[in-house]
Amino acid sequence: MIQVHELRKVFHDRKRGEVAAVDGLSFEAPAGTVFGLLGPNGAGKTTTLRILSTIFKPTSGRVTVMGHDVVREPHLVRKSIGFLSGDTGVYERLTPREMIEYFGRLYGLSPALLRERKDSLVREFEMESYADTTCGKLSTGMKKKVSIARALVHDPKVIILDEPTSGLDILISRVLVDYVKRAKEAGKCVIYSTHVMAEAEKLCDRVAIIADGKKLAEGTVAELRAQTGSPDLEDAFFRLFDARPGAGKAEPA
Amino acid sequence: MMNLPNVLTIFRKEMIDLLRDRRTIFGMVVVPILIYPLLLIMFSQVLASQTERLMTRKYSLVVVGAPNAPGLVELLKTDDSWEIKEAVPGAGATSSDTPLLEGGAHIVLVVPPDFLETLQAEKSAKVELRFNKAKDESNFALHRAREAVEDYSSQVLKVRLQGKPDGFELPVVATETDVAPPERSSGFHLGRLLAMMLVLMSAVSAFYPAIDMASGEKERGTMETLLVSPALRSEIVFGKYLAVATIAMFTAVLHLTSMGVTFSYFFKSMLGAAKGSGLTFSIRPSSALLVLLPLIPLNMLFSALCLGLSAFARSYKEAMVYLTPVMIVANVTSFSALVPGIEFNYVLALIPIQNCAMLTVTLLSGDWKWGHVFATFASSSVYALVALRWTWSIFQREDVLLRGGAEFDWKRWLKTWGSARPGLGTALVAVIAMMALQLAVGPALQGMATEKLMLAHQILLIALPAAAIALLASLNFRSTFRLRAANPVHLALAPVIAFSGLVLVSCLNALLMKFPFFRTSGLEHGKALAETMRALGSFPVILVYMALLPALCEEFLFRGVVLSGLRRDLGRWAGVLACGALFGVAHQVPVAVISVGTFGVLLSWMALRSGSLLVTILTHTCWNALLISVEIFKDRLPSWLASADADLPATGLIIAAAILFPAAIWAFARARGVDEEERDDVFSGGESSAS
Repeated sequence: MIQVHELRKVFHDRKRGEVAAVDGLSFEAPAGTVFGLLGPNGAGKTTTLRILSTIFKPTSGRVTVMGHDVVREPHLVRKSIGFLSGDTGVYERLTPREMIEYFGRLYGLSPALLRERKDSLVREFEMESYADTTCGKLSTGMKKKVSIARALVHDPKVIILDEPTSGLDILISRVLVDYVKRAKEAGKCVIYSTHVMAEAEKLCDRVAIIADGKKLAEGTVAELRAQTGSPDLEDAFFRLFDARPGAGKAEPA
Repeated sequence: MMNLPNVLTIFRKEMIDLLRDRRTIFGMVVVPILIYPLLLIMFSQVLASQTERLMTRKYSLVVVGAPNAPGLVELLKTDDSWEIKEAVPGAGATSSDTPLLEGGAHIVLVVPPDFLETLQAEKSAKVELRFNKAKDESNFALHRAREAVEDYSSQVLKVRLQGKPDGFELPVVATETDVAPPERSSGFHLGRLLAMMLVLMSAVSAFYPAIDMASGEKERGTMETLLVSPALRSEIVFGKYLAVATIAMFTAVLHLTSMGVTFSYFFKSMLGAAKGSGLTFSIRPSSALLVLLPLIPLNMLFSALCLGLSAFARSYKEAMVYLTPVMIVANVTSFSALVPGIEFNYVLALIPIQNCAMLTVTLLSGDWKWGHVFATFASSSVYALVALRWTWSIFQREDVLLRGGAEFDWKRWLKTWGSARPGLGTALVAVIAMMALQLAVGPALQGMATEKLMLAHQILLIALPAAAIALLASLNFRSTFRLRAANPVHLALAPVIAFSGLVLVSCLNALLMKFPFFRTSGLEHGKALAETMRALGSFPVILVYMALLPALCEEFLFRGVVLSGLRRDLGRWAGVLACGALFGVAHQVPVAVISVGTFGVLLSWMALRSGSLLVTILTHTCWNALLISVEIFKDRLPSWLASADADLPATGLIIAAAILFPAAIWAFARARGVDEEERDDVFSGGESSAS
């Protein structure tokens, strides 16, 4: 479903010159799996996911989503993915229903299908009581649900979640986690970036641990534990992180 | 490519979003309806009370040398609004100025000792009124004192004229009759005021919706969501643009209606009070509707400009900072409609904002042409499209999402001095600086010897501003001015392109010269050029000063900083076209705007393709040299080069050029440029990193 090969992304920073946010990253995520990207802040997770969702262009390397190249066919890639990041906002003066409808139209859903999706999403995320209140009046958790529903309106085959639970209470987090489990069973491909190890341990079929834009290790949670001889993923992460090439240098902010 | 349903979806959403915003409603409905009545009430209250105070108050008048003119002083004393003090002539008249300056007196009347004597000799006696123009009271007092002196003068005249028939003192009297229909002459005056208001309204109306829709979307964190949706960037830009334009148009129309209703009510009540003043501010309803016509191009332009700047800004606050100068420039430009004596023509129709202001004036005066309306619409649409194209290119950039700070790092600026690349702003500043210098310094240069004039004009007014801006903006000279060695193939092709291109552009020129509008100014320009050549004398001197020098300086400015800036922000093709257009407009003569503009497009393309300024300097020099040679040797041309039509090149030449030109362009395009990287650097705009 998703193939990332030797991905590199360089930014021009006025102070630091050329900075490689992602540096030779490769991984593959087939359908029906949840693939976790684990790493500290500044590891290159968001940049990678933004490249997957065609907002950024890779400096070099090849990225395909469902067989479509992100550089040559961004249009087709955008149609097949649902993207949600932790700091995504909502249109405060639209109601959740209007939000879902707006994006549904942009994704080219037919009116009949759109009506059906709208109703089922509102039901699925239990938004009935506030579906017609403008988003500005909703709580953080409610807004998050609207964002999730918005990202899923076109029932995408690939779902990209960039630290989706940041700032959420456990109740809303559970709604999301439950959804990810169901999506996986429905044969979708989920890319899930997080720095919360417990979440990754519970959800992800495969995990890639990245730091400084480079992949440190990849495998199932059990494989990583065995590889490092650690009791849990968190411990495995610390061992890999401390043993990374160039460790001990100043950490990226 | 662009999908209309998507554009409409975005438009519809933005409209709903904006119309649910209390701030939009306030700016769109509440402000327009309330502001004019409130302003009028405040203004008329203050004006009335203040004027009344000035009209009815007592003014203190100091008479120096009162005994010299007893009659005059007598007359002044009959008017009890004067508070008269007498003063003895001191050490010169100036000593009496102290009370004027310090506020002890409003006006001083100085009567010389020989006043009566002169009057009795039936000559013209002089008195002096000293006043302080910096004080309103003094001005009012001057007005009244002048009337008093005139009254006294006519009293004396009556005595002198005893026995003469009536009308002796006024041998010839002219009566003036205004033949303009009343609605036209009032329309003319009203038009000027309206033109200013229109520009102001249009700018203000687009301000808020544009900020909310682009930088607002970034700030609220919804931009990313929109950009990962399958909607094309062009659909997003266009949908948003339509929404800004709709809201802005509605606001502007409401502003105008409210203003119109308020002022017509005001004038009706004013005129009711002062009948026979001759002022009627009635305009026909059809004229009122006509005012909406220039509003459309103005609105198109401002909406596009505001949206672009707002998309460029990273935050709400930054957008405010960028939009404020736009408002100031718009307002100052609109003042030009108030300048008397400017006739609207097709060249003015090309100047953004001013064309709409001028169009308003002509429309309301009733003396207008459809051609001007079309020209204004066409040029404004082009500018709006350029602004939209720019907005689109911003939405293409990756850093549109990055909400970094707007800090300016002085240390970095000094350290990396000379490495920046110019943008649209730098390019426009360079052209505007050049044109402003021409206006300001140009007249002062007149009267210099021709050689010095040419040198000063080209170097001081064209090359120097370009270099100064490059220094100030800390630009990289080498890449900005394309200071690179050229591919020899390009250099070899330059004269061929110059020759064949010139022949083809001459045909275009000949066609344009058939129109009297182009012909008059075109011939005048030709005459001026011929005169300069005569003044320079020998052929080699002419070539140096009129072919090489302008080619060097103009290429430095236009194919240097201007093209580099336009190309970065507008993209390759729009950049080439815009650079050509600016090059044409800078030549000011209408026919040259088109033919030189075409040449400018050609040169700009060559500059980008070859990557070297040398190539365009050579082309430009050859072009100028050929033009000059034709002018000098036109009477001595061999018969096969002569043509029947004086404006047109010989048929053989046209055929040769028509074959040579495409071939040379083809070869030019195939040859390798010295700077290939310039071709695909559109996406390298990232300024700070994000991960």
